[in-house]
Amino acid sequence: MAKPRSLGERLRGLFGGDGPAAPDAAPPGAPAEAAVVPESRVRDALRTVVDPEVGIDIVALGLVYAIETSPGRVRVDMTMTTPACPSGPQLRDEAARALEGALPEAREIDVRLVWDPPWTPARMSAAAKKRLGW
Amino acid sequence: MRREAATTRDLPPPWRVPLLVLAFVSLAVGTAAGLARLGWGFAAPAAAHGPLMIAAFFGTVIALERAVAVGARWAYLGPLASGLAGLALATGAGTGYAAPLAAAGSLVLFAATLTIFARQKALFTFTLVLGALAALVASLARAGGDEAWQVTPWWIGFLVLTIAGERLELSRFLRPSPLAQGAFAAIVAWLALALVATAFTPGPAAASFGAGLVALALWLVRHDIARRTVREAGLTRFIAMALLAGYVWLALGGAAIVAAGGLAPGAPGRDAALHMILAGFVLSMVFGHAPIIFPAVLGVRMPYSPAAYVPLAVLHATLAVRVAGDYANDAGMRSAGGMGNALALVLFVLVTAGAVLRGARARPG
Repeated sequence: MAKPRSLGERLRGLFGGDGPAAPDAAPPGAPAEAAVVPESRVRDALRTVVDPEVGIDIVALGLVYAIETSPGRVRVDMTMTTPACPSGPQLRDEAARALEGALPEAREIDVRLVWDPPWTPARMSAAAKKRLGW
Repeated sequence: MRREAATTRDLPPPWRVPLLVLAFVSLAVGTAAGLARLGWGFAAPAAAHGPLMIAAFFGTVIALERAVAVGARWAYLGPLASGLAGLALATGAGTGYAAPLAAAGSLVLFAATLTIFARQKALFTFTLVLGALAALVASLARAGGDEAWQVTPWWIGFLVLTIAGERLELSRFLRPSPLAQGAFAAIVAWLALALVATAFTPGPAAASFGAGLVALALWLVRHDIARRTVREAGLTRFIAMALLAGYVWLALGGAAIVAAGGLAPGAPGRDAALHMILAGFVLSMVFGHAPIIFPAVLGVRMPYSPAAYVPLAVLHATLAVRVAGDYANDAGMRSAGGMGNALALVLFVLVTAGAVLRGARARPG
């Protein structure tokens, strides 16, 4: 079943290889053990990280800004709803652990906390907005 | 362009443990001091109950939480100074240093909060700045010789504005209307002006501050995400329950200040009003957020368990007994309720420690 995705996610999917085309995204001739992890699997792993205050995962909240995958390597840029929140480093580490658990083939996982652009509620997925009564 | 958080200059979590230990020393001795006031035979500095609980315990944990958010080592001087102020009061050694240390701690907290405001200029970060400013005013007045009761409205302002700012941030999930945001700004301005006015007409100003607290509680009940997340499950629901119960006490406490005509010592219902706000609202908030704040500050895991409801329920039930004892002028009931509040704190520490231990065992590797 297709998950509801925001426009931003769909746009990123177009450029980031999210979707059925992703497993073939490894460059020809790359060694098998350093395959490119499909962005959809990265995103699914990040969906297991939930903001406990809201009860919604960080992908649906629009806190994941960018996912970059290259052979054996995954890089994620994520944010928090505000720099005033002390949970940033904790959620970043939790995201990294979720990726390590779900993507054993990724030898290098790098999750960065970024603040620009600032998060706004408009970044939430349609499903998250609906759940919060928008 | 994206900017990386400056995590490399942050204080590593193990170094934050002593700061939290200082906070809990203040909490333990401050609680014993409160029980001594209620007639229980504890050898604790009864007069230091308020400063230990508010300036030392809450002052240290809020400054620590802010330092983690700022992610810079200098910001940890705030909880260090506030924690040492608590240690001075708790041990009775060097009590003369307590007020200057508390002032230094709230000065660093204020600077750290300004840093947050500079990163994100918004009504909610400005409300956090006002909260930290209230702590600074209270601690400077104390260092200048004011008694604890004289700065009590400022201490309440510190805690209430800090929590209000954090809740306003989270209310963005529900998209409050411009009218609702304007109402929040008006309530915060009202509270701030009432605090300033306590310097001139303490009684009426404090009563008007109490009315502002009622308005704030009503705003929070209406616009906080807790109203929606209380329908979720697990930790999310627990946090919402702790918040909603706290808002009821905030409204009642604000109304009690109005009914008492202020917060002067001896005002009828003063004890009840203070504890409805500081135990019913602020401690409930602390209980609710411990499963988020402990992992954030210490880098530990703290799996949620429904046992977290036990201290929360004991806190609210025994606070009701205490408040009833206050209004019935029944010293035995008030003392029993106070002891119940202390029991809730002990249970809270046990449940928290148990969760941290379970988290450590569950951690792979």
